[in-house]
Amino acid sequence: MASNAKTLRLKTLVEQHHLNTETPLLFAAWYRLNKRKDVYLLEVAEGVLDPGDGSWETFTFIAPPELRLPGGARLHITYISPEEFFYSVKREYTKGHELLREIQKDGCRVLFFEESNETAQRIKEVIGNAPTTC
Amino acid sequence: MPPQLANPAAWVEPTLRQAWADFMVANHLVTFSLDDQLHKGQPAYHAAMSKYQQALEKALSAVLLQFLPSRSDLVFVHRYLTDATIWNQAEVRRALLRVFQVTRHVGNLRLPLQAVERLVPDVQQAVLDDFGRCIRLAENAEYPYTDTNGNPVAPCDTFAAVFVQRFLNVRKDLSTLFKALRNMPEFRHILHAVE
Repeated sequence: MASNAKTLRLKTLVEQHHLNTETPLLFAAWYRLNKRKDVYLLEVAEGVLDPGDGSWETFTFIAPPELRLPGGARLHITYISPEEFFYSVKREYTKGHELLREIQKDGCRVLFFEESNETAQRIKEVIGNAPTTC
Repeated sequence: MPPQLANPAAWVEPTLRQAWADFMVANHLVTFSLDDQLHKGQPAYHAAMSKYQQALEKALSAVLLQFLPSRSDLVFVHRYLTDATIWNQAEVRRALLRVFQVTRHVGNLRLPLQAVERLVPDVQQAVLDDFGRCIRLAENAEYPYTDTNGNPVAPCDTFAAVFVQRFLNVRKDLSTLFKALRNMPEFRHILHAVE
Protein backbone atom coordinates (compact mmCIF):
# COMPACT_ATOMS: atom_id res chain seq x y z
CA MET A 1 0.00 0.00 0.00
CA ALA A 2 1.37 3.42 -0.93
CA SER A 3 1.46 5.52 2.23
CA ASN A 4 0.97 9.28 2.27
CA ALA A 5 4.22 9.83 4.16
CA LYS A 6 6.13 7.91 1.53
CA THR A 7 4.35 9.86 -1.19
CA LEU A 8 5.41 13.14 0.41
CA ARG A 9 9.02 12.03 0.61
CA LEU A 10 8.96 11.01 -3.04
CA LYS A 11 7.43 14.34 -3.98
CA THR A 12 10.31 16.07 -2.22
CA LEU A 13 12.78 14.00 -4.22
CA VAL A 14 11.00 14.78 -7.47
CA GLU A 15 10.92 18.48 -6.58
CA GLN A 16 14.73 18.40 -6.64
CA HIS A 17 14.56 17.07 -10.18
CA HIS A 18 12.12 19.83 -11.07
CA LEU A 19 14.76 22.39 -10.08
CA ASN A 20 17.11 21.12 -12.78
CA THR A 21 16.64 23.74 -15.47
CA GLU A 22 18.67 21.91 -18.12
CA THR A 23 16.12 19.12 -18.33
CA PRO A 24 12.89 20.62 -16.93
CA LEU A 25 10.61 18.02 -15.48
CA LEU A 26 7.13 17.79 -16.99
CA PHE A 27 5.65 14.78 -15.30
CA ALA A 28 6.58 12.29 -12.58
CA ALA A 29 4.66 9.30 -11.31
CA TRP A 30 5.29 6.49 -8.85
CA TYR A 31 4.28 3.15 -10.36
CA ARG A 32 4.35 -0.47 -9.18
CA LEU A 33 2.77 0.75 -5.99
CA ASN A 34 2.41 -2.78 -4.67
CA LYS A 35 6.18 -3.24 -4.38
CA ARG A 36 6.90 -2.98 -0.67
CA LYS A 37 10.62 -2.36 -0.77
CA ASP A 38 11.78 -0.78 -4.00
CA VAL A 39 10.35 2.38 -5.54
CA TYR A 40 9.68 2.86 -9.26
CA LEU A 41 9.43 6.33 -10.77
CA LEU A 42 8.55 7.44 -14.28
CA GLU A 43 9.96 10.86 -15.06
CA VAL A 44 9.35 12.70 -18.31
CA ALA A 45 11.54 15.74 -18.81
CA GLU A 46 12.30 18.05 -21.68
CA GLY A 47 15.75 17.83 -23.22
CA VAL A 48 16.46 14.26 -22.14
CA LEU A 49 18.44 12.55 -24.90
CA ASP A 50 16.86 9.23 -25.75
CA PRO A 51 18.10 6.64 -28.19
CA GLY A 52 14.78 6.98 -30.01
CA ASP A 53 13.83 3.30 -29.92
CA GLY A 54 11.13 3.47 -27.27
CA SER A 55 13.21 1.39 -24.90
CA TRP A 56 12.39 3.52 -21.84
CA GLU A 57 15.56 2.61 -20.07
CA THR A 58 15.27 2.36 -16.29
CA PHE A 59 18.18 3.27 -14.05
CA THR A 60 18.61 1.78 -10.62
CA PHE A 61 20.13 3.62 -7.69
CA ILE A 62 20.59 2.89 -4.03
CA ALA A 63 17.66 4.65 -2.41
CA PRO A 64 18.78 7.93 -0.80
CA PRO A 65 18.50 7.93 3.00
CA GLU A 66 15.93 10.73 3.02
CA LEU A 67 13.38 8.39 1.44
CA ARG A 68 13.57 6.24 4.58
CA LEU A 69 13.04 3.03 2.67
CA PRO A 70 13.95 -0.38 4.13
CA GLY A 71 17.64 -1.27 4.10
CA GLY A 72 18.90 -2.33 0.70
CA ALA A 73 15.94 -0.76 -1.10
CA ARG A 74 16.50 0.53 -4.61
CA LEU A 75 15.16 3.49 -6.52
CA HIS A 76 14.34 2.68 -10.14
CA ILE A 77 13.87 5.68 -12.39
CA THR A 78 12.56 5.46 -15.93
CA TYR A 79 13.80 8.72 -17.36
CA ILE A 80 12.60 9.79 -20.81
CA SER A 81 11.80 12.75 -23.02
CA PRO A 82 8.23 13.60 -24.09
CA GLU A 83 9.17 12.59 -27.65
CA GLU A 84 10.14 9.13 -26.43
CA PHE A 85 6.95 8.92 -24.40
CA PHE A 86 4.69 9.63 -27.36
CA TYR A 87 6.81 7.49 -29.69
CA SER A 88 6.05 4.48 -27.49
CA VAL A 89 2.37 5.34 -27.19
CA LYS A 90 1.98 4.59 -30.89
CA ARG A 91 4.23 1.54 -31.12
CA GLU A 92 3.03 -1.61 -29.43
CA TYR A 93 6.25 -3.55 -29.87
CA THR A 94 8.36 -1.22 -27.76
CA LYS A 95 9.33 -1.77 -24.14
CA GLY A 96 7.95 1.65 -23.36
CA HIS A 97 4.54 0.67 -24.65
CA GLU A 98 4.49 -2.42 -22.44
CA LEU A 99 5.38 -0.37 -19.39
CA LEU A 100 2.78 2.23 -20.26
CA ARG A 101 0.13 -0.48 -20.49
CA GLU A 102 1.22 -1.80 -17.10
CA ILE A 103 0.93 1.65 -15.53
CA GLN A 104 -2.49 2.24 -17.11
CA LYS A 105 -3.68 -1.12 -15.84
CA ASP A 106 -2.19 -1.17 -12.35
CA GLY A 107 -2.26 2.52 -11.53
CA CYS A 108 0.24 5.06 -10.31
CA ARG A 109 0.52 8.14 -8.18
CA VAL A 110 1.27 11.37 -9.95
CA LEU A 111 3.99 13.12 -7.94
CA PHE A 112 4.55 16.07 -10.22
CA PHE A 113 2.72 17.55 -13.15
CA GLU A 114 3.51 20.84 -14.90
CA GLU A 115 -0.05 22.06 -15.18
CA SER A 116 0.72 25.05 -17.40
CA ASN A 117 2.46 22.87 -19.98
CA GLU A 118 0.38 21.42 -22.79
CA THR A 119 2.71 18.45 -23.32
CA ALA A 120 2.49 17.56 -19.64
CA GLN A 121 -1.28 17.67 -19.89
CA ARG A 122 -1.20 15.26 -22.83
CA ILE A 123 1.08 12.89 -20.91
CA LYS A 124 -1.33 12.92 -18.00
CA GLU A 125 -4.21 12.19 -20.35
CA VAL A 126 -2.37 9.18 -21.77
CA ILE A 127 -1.60 7.85 -18.32
CA GLY A 128 -5.35 8.18 -18.14
CA ASN A 129 -7.45 6.40 -15.63
CA ALA A 130 -4.65 5.35 -13.35
CA PRO A 131 -5.57 6.21 -9.76
CA THR A 132 -3.65 9.39 -9.07
CA THR A 133 -2.83 11.62 -6.16
CA CYS A 134 -1.48 15.05 -7.02
CA MET B 1 53.55 16.04 -29.28
CA PRO B 2 52.18 12.61 -28.24
CA PRO B 3 53.23 9.66 -30.41
CA GLN B 4 51.11 8.02 -33.07
CA LEU B 5 50.09 4.40 -32.59
CA ALA B 6 51.76 1.89 -34.87
CA ASN B 7 48.50 0.16 -35.71
CA PRO B 8 45.51 2.34 -34.77
CA ALA B 9 42.87 -0.14 -35.98
CA ALA B 10 44.06 -2.74 -33.48
CA TRP B 11 43.36 -0.36 -30.59
CA VAL B 12 39.72 0.36 -31.36
CA GLU B 13 38.27 -2.74 -29.76
CA PRO B 14 40.28 -2.76 -26.50
CA THR B 15 39.65 0.95 -26.07
CA LEU B 16 35.89 0.60 -26.49
CA ARG B 17 35.81 -2.51 -24.31
CA GLN B 18 37.52 -0.59 -21.54
CA ALA B 19 35.09 2.30 -21.98
CA TRP B 20 32.18 -0.12 -21.56
CA ALA B 21 33.83 -1.72 -18.52
CA ASP B 22 34.24 1.71 -16.90
CA PHE B 23 30.57 2.46 -17.59
CA MET B 24 29.47 -0.82 -16.04
CA VAL B 25 31.64 -0.32 -12.96
CA ALA B 26 30.18 3.16 -12.50
CA ASN B 27 26.63 1.85 -12.79
CA HIS B 28 27.45 -0.83 -10.27
CA LEU B 29 28.80 1.70 -7.80
CA VAL B 30 25.59 3.73 -7.77
CA THR B 31 23.31 0.69 -7.79
CA PHE B 32 24.86 -1.40 -5.02
CA SER B 33 26.13 -0.09 -1.72
CA LEU B 34 29.32 -2.10 -1.84
CA ASP B 35 31.12 0.39 0.31
CA ASP B 36 28.75 0.80 3.23
CA GLN B 37 31.70 0.27 5.50
CA LEU B 38 33.98 2.64 3.68
CA HIS B 39 32.48 6.09 3.59
CA LYS B 40 29.81 6.79 6.19
CA GLY B 41 27.45 4.42 4.45
CA GLN B 42 27.41 6.53 1.32
CA PRO B 43 27.96 4.78 -1.98
CA ALA B 44 31.15 5.73 -3.77
CA TYR B 45 29.56 8.37 -5.96
CA HIS B 46 32.84 10.13 -6.53
CA ALA B 47 34.34 6.89 -7.84
CA ALA B 48 31.28 6.35 -10.03
CA MET B 49 31.50 9.83 -11.48
CA SER B 50 35.19 9.33 -12.12
CA LYS B 51 34.41 6.11 -13.97
CA TYR B 52 31.69 7.79 -16.02
CA GLN B 53 34.17 10.45 -17.06
CA GLN B 54 36.75 7.82 -17.98
CA ALA B 55 34.17 5.82 -19.91
CA LEU B 56 33.36 8.89 -21.99
CA GLU B 57 37.01 9.65 -22.62
CA LYS B 58 37.73 6.13 -23.87
CA ALA B 59 34.55 5.86 -25.92
CA LEU B 60 35.48 9.03 -27.78
CA SER B 61 39.05 7.76 -28.17
CA ALA B 62 37.71 4.61 -29.80
CA VAL B 63 35.57 6.69 -32.16
CA LEU B 64 38.56 8.76 -33.22
CA LEU B 65 40.74 5.69 -33.67
CA GLN B 66 38.08 4.24 -35.93
CA PHE B 67 37.25 7.28 -38.03
CA LEU B 68 40.46 9.24 -37.81
CA PRO B 69 43.34 6.74 -37.61
CA SER B 70 45.79 9.29 -38.95
CA ARG B 71 45.41 11.15 -35.65
CA SER B 72 45.98 8.29 -33.25
CA ASP B 73 48.03 10.68 -31.11
CA LEU B 74 44.64 11.89 -29.87
CA VAL B 75 44.23 8.81 -27.69
CA PHE B 76 46.63 10.52 -25.31
CA VAL B 77 44.37 13.57 -25.08
CA HIS B 78 41.75 13.77 -22.32
CA ARG B 79 39.43 16.50 -23.54
CA TYR B 80 37.87 16.22 -26.95
CA LEU B 81 34.71 18.27 -26.47
CA THR B 82 35.77 20.98 -24.07
CA ASP B 83 39.25 21.80 -25.30
CA ALA B 84 38.72 24.25 -28.14
CA THR B 85 42.12 23.48 -29.67
CA ILE B 86 40.94 19.88 -30.18
CA TRP B 87 37.25 20.41 -30.95
CA ASN B 88 37.98 23.18 -33.43
CA GLN B 89 39.96 20.82 -35.63
CA ALA B 90 37.50 20.07 -38.41
CA GLU B 91 38.61 16.45 -38.86
CA VAL B 92 38.10 15.72 -35.15
CA ARG B 93 34.73 17.40 -35.07
CA ARG B 94 33.59 15.57 -38.18
CA ALA B 95 34.58 12.18 -36.72
CA LEU B 96 32.80 12.77 -33.42
CA LEU B 97 29.67 14.22 -35.01
CA ARG B 98 29.14 10.92 -36.79
CA VAL B 99 28.23 9.51 -33.41
CA PHE B 100 26.48 12.47 -31.88
CA GLN B 101 23.97 12.72 -34.71
CA VAL B 102 23.45 9.06 -35.40
CA THR B 103 19.98 8.41 -34.04
CA ARG B 104 16.69 10.07 -34.67
CA HIS B 105 15.77 11.41 -31.25
CA VAL B 106 19.24 11.94 -29.92
CA GLY B 107 19.95 15.37 -31.32
CA ASN B 108 23.34 16.64 -30.38
CA LEU B 109 24.86 14.67 -27.54
CA ARG B 110 27.83 16.93 -27.38
CA LEU B 111 26.44 19.47 -24.94
CA PRO B 112 25.50 17.13 -22.09
CA LEU B 113 28.65 15.10 -22.56
CA GLN B 114 30.71 18.23 -22.17
CA ALA B 115 29.53 18.40 -18.57
CA VAL B 116 30.97 14.95 -17.94
CA GLU B 117 34.19 15.71 -19.73
CA ARG B 118 34.74 18.81 -17.60
CA LEU B 119 35.37 16.42 -14.71
CA VAL B 120 38.78 15.46 -16.13
CA PRO B 121 41.38 16.54 -13.55
CA ASP B 122 43.25 19.28 -15.36
CA VAL B 123 45.84 21.61 -13.91
CA GLN B 124 45.48 23.78 -17.01
CA GLN B 125 42.13 24.90 -15.62
CA ALA B 126 43.69 26.10 -12.36
CA VAL B 127 43.53 29.75 -11.37
CA LEU B 128 46.84 31.16 -10.14
CA ASP B 129 47.52 34.18 -7.98
CA ASP B 130 50.04 36.92 -8.76
CA PHE B 131 52.83 34.76 -7.40
CA GLY B 132 51.97 31.80 -9.62
CA ARG B 133 50.44 29.82 -6.77
CA CYS B 134 47.31 27.81 -7.34
CA ILE B 135 44.25 29.31 -5.66
CA ARG B 136 41.45 27.54 -7.53
CA LEU B 137 41.17 24.04 -8.96
CA ALA B 138 38.28 23.08 -11.20
CA GLU B 139 35.71 20.52 -10.09
CA ASN B 140 36.72 16.97 -10.90
CA ALA B 141 35.92 13.50 -9.61
CA GLU B 142 39.38 12.45 -8.45
CA TYR B 143 41.30 15.17 -6.65
CA PRO B 144 40.29 17.84 -4.13
CA TYR B 145 39.15 21.04 -5.80
CA THR B 146 37.77 24.40 -4.71
CA ASP B 147 34.09 25.02 -4.17
CA THR B 148 32.29 28.23 -5.10
CA ASN B 149 33.63 29.89 -1.95
CA GLY B 150 37.20 29.00 -2.84
CA ASN B 151 37.54 26.35 -0.14
CA PRO B 152 39.21 23.00 -0.92
CA VAL B 153 36.72 20.13 -0.86
CA ALA B 154 36.98 16.38 -1.39
CA PRO B 155 35.05 14.75 -4.24
CA CYS B 156 33.96 11.94 -1.91
CA ASP B 157 32.01 14.50 0.12
CA THR B 158 30.62 16.71 -2.61
CA PHE B 159 29.48 14.04 -5.06
CA ALA B 160 27.66 12.15 -2.33
CA ALA B 161 25.56 15.26 -1.74
CA VAL B 162 24.30 15.73 -5.29
CA PHE B 163 23.02 12.18 -5.66
CA VAL B 164 20.22 11.29 -7.98
CA GLN B 165 19.58 14.14 -10.35
CA ARG B 166 23.11 14.66 -11.55
CA PHE B 167 23.81 10.95 -11.81
CA LEU B 168 20.53 10.34 -13.56
CA ASN B 169 21.45 12.73 -16.34
CA VAL B 170 25.03 11.54 -16.66
CA ARG B 171 23.96 7.92 -16.73
CA LYS B 172 21.28 8.61 -19.28
CA ASP B 173 23.59 10.57 -21.57
CA LEU B 174 26.33 7.92 -21.50
CA SER B 175 23.81 5.16 -21.98
CA THR B 176 22.52 6.98 -25.05
CA LEU B 177 26.06 7.39 -26.34
CA PHE B 178 26.70 3.65 -26.05
CA LYS B 179 23.37 2.91 -27.71
CA ALA B 180 24.35 5.18 -30.56
CA LEU B 181 27.65 3.31 -30.90
CA ARG B 182 25.83 0.00 -30.84
CA ASN B 183 23.78 1.17 -33.80
CA MET B 184 26.90 1.79 -35.86
CA PRO B 185 28.33 -1.17 -37.81
CA GLU B 186 31.88 -0.21 -36.87
CA PHE B 187 31.23 -0.76 -33.16
CA ARG B 188 28.23 -3.07 -32.97
CA HIS B 189 30.18 -6.32 -32.78
CA ILE B 190 32.43 -5.01 -30.03
CA LEU B 191 29.60 -3.92 -27.76
CA HIS B 192 27.48 -6.97 -28.45
CA ALA B 193 30.39 -9.14 -27.40
CA VAL B 194 30.68 -7.53 -23.98
CA GLU B 195 27.02 -7.02 -23.08
